[in-house]
Amino acid sequence: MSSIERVCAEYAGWLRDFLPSGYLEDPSRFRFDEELRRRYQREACAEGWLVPQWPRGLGGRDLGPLEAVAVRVQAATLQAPKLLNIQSVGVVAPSLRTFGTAEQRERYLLPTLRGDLTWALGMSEPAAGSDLAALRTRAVAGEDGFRVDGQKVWTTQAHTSDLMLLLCRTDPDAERHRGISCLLVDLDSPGITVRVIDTGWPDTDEFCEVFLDDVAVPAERLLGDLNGGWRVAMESLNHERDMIWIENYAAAGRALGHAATAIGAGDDHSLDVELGRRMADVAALRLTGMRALESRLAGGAAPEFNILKLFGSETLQRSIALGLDAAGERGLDDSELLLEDFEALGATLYGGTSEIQRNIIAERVLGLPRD
Amino acid sequence: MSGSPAGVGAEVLPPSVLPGDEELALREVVRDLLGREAPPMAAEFAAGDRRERLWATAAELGWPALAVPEECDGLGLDFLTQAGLLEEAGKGPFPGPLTTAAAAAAVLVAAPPGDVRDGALAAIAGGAVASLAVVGDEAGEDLAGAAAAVPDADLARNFVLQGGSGLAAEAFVVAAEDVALEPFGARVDAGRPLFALRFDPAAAVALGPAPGGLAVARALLAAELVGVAERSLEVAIEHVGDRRQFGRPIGSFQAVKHLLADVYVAVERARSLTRGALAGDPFGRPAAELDRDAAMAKAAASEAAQAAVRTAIQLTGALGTTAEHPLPWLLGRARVGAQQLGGAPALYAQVGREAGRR
Repeated sequence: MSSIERVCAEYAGWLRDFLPSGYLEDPSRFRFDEELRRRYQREACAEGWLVPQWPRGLGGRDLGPLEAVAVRVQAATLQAPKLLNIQSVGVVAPSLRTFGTAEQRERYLLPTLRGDLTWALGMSEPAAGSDLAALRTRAVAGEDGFRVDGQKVWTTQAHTSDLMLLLCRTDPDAERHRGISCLLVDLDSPGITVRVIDTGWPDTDEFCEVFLDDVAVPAERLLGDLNGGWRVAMESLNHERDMIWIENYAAAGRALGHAATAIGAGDDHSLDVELGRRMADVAALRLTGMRALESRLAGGAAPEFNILKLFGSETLQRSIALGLDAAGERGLDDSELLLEDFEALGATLYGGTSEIQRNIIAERVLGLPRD
Repeated sequence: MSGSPAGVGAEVLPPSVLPGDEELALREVVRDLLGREAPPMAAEFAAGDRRERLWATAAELGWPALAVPEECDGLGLDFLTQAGLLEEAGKGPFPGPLTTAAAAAAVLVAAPPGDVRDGALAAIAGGAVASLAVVGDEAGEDLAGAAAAVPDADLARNFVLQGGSGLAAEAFVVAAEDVALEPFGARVDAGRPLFALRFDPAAAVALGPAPGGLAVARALLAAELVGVAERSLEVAIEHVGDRRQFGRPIGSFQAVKHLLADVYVAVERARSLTRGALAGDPFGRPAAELDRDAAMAKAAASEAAQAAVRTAIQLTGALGTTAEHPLPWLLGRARVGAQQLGGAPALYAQVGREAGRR
């Protein structure tokens, strides 16, 4: 048994012991069990399975990068309970660890990993979506800290979170990427109003609008350098973008498993080609993800990393679309499948839209001229 | 499917598909040779005796012997290394029977050892061309005495026949002197002419079943097509970076960028599947798994090559259709390669049907 197989088996054993009986047979029954999801995060953190490549005591167990990814794939394929506030662990914690001061790390890092502190990402604005650097929320530095004015939108879970990782403009005269800073803002600060935006589907994560009106933020809440916020945002988001494929891979594989059962049960072979093509997508996604990682570890350029977000999210959507076609009218009575279909629509939007991903591939990988 | 939801460990982490030092060195030699020997113009590419000369050079360099076992006078390297060589050759594309012989050798390697099989492998290792034909698809059918669209048959010393299902589901060898040839179809790829074969089935020597042989042959062909796709993409990138319209390079328009980004995804998808199908010891895996992985790889590479070359022709405008340009040559290889040993829809359907059955 290789070290990777061993560590995956160890994780799977721990997970089986942790989960309530009946979970692995039908994880979807537990989708809305918030207490279970909260407890999973806490115990995975304590046991080092939350961020396996991090040190012990910080949600990890010092695993190598390949082993850590293998554990993540394992967690996704076994459908381990989803973290309630995924951006806290996926984006905020790495930012704190990389850019935080000793005091910031001491105060926020472990509580964030344990799930005791939850975060919203204050990034998009009404006029700054894909063009994030166009953001206008303004923070003016004074003697006792910053005063912030502006508006954020599509801020997932701002209404239930304790804090916000806020990107704001601190130097309006600088080149636009160089005038941005990152602040850690209490969401119960005076001057903050959070309004929920209802989605057109029940039971999905809620988006919010966040209005900031002369909000006081202490100086020690600056994360990273003053006017160095763009780097904080990019490094944190890239880290997550390189990993999103794992969830896409597992979810698309599940969708295809159901589709294959439905297609195999009938006499209609019109979907055989589509099933084969989507199976190739899912297999290629895993192989490309691992190849990119191995290549990076070997010191290579690993340009194929840049396709994983685009290819993963589109594979997910196409696999679920096939599942709907395979189910036919029965699918209209499958609330799980319909919910997954709705959620998958977001996969080509969040973390950089597919259109932006294609631009990135064209310009940074293929070397085409910028427009 | 690869990575079934309940998979643990090995399922999660496939064997490495990164190129080793040997492969990287070989690729360098292929690049050098193609740079010297293969002018980039379609009109000249397969002119004269270039196929024969390049094959002779390849044989001197030991390329046909790469994946032939050492006990059959080969170099005994792995198929992944050979795939790297063929991918690089696909970028020419190489106008000689390199992939043709590699596909035939793969079926022989999978067949049970014996004098005829070992001798045929040793002949390939020594520089004798062999070509693979798939015959007799019908269940229960005896070995047919004919085959269509057999590549490079004019140069072949031996033919390897892979029977379909039923009684003839085994591999055979028939010597060139027992085979009558005539040209097959239009001359789509002058570097890989196709022929129809007729022979007396009694002249074919049965080797026994060659499980996974056709699968590995498909994956090797896929590797060449990945090279065809990559070269086509390079040609397109170069053109759209230079060509200016409306006062700027056409490669700065998003409509163009997004087309090429999608080609890049298709190329990497095909590359991953191809290398994944051949990684480690392919014959050590369950035959059904190898068949499936190779079918996906070949289907993906067929699509990637077709998409890449056709997108490149679109983006180079009328220039890409001229005899002064490499694209018609790449198109020829893509058109032939895409259909050889099964086209994308048929292979995907096979994969889908098998998945539904389980």
